[in-house]
Amino acid sequence: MAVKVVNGEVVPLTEEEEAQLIVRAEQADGNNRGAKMTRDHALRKTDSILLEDFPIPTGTKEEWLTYRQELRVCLETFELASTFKHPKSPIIKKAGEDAYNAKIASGPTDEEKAGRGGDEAWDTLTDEEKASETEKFALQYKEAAEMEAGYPDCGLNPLL
Amino acid sequence: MSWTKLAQGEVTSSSSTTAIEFTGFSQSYKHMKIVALGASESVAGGGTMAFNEMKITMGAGSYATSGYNWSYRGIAIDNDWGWGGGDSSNPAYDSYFHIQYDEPSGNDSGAKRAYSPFEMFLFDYSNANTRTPVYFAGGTVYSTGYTSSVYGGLIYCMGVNLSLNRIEKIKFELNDGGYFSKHTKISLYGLDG
Repeated sequence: MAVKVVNGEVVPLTEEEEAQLIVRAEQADGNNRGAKMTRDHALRKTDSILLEDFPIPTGTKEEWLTYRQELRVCLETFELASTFKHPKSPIIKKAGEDAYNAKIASGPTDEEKAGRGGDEAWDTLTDEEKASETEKFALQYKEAAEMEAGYPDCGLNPLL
Repeated sequence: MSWTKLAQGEVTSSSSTTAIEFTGFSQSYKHMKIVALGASESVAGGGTMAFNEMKITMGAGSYATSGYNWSYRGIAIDNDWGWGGGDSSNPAYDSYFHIQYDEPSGNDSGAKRAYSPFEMFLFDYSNANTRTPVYFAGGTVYSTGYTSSVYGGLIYCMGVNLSLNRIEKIKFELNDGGYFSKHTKISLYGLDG
């Protein structure tokens, strides 16, 4: 149950206040301000890509220009903050792809196999099932690597 | 002259606290200082950060006021999420002083913590015949479980509550329906004149 603190005392919300709370949460989820702030910031940080002497760390200039165009139009498809996905910069994409490919190549760890029933259960899987399970792990690694690289930001620090 | 504590509100339980409100505080002082720590801590997979978009409403008999003129400057640290050091002003808010504490958007999956200390001054808050100048300085430091990155920023605001009424009620709430979490504490002080 939600409450409020009035003059130091905890008091329950009225029915009207409870209803307002739900409306506000829905309105907030439908508000693109946070997504726009992140988008605007990524655009500003990638301005450096346009400088002729800027050492692009990952990807080509064309890929970065494509990314910037995706940023410009991405809010056109905004529906809810909770489901919105920003475009991924070349740095973010590479981090994700590298992690994904490394996991596909290495396969699941013993710990991950244990989470699927252990070595014996793993060995009973067909090659196709093993590949499918491994891909699930790889997608998790990909998402984690993208976050680590800075997503939903662009991951580019123009001053480094 | 000395500061005297007028009132204090804090979150001491894990109940979902949507607002911290003060009414009926002393009108015997000239200026007011508000010192606060907003806190939010969520577990992994906890979804949206609770402490987001703080809204401060002030008024006399009711919270309806004549509006504010105010401007702010934000300074982000490290991987900021949009304050960017830009200048902004908005005279359109008709009933509240609205402070941005937005979190980065995206699919956050780790545990998250945000701490938002701030200090605020209301000048001539008890005077019924003047508008109330307001100064606010605060910020947020935010970290998540999945990355070593620290997000945060400082924000400075100056503005004027256009109402000629004295300030008799103050309410802090989170505009997106979020909750103040345990360890949030707000104290009001009066300065005699």
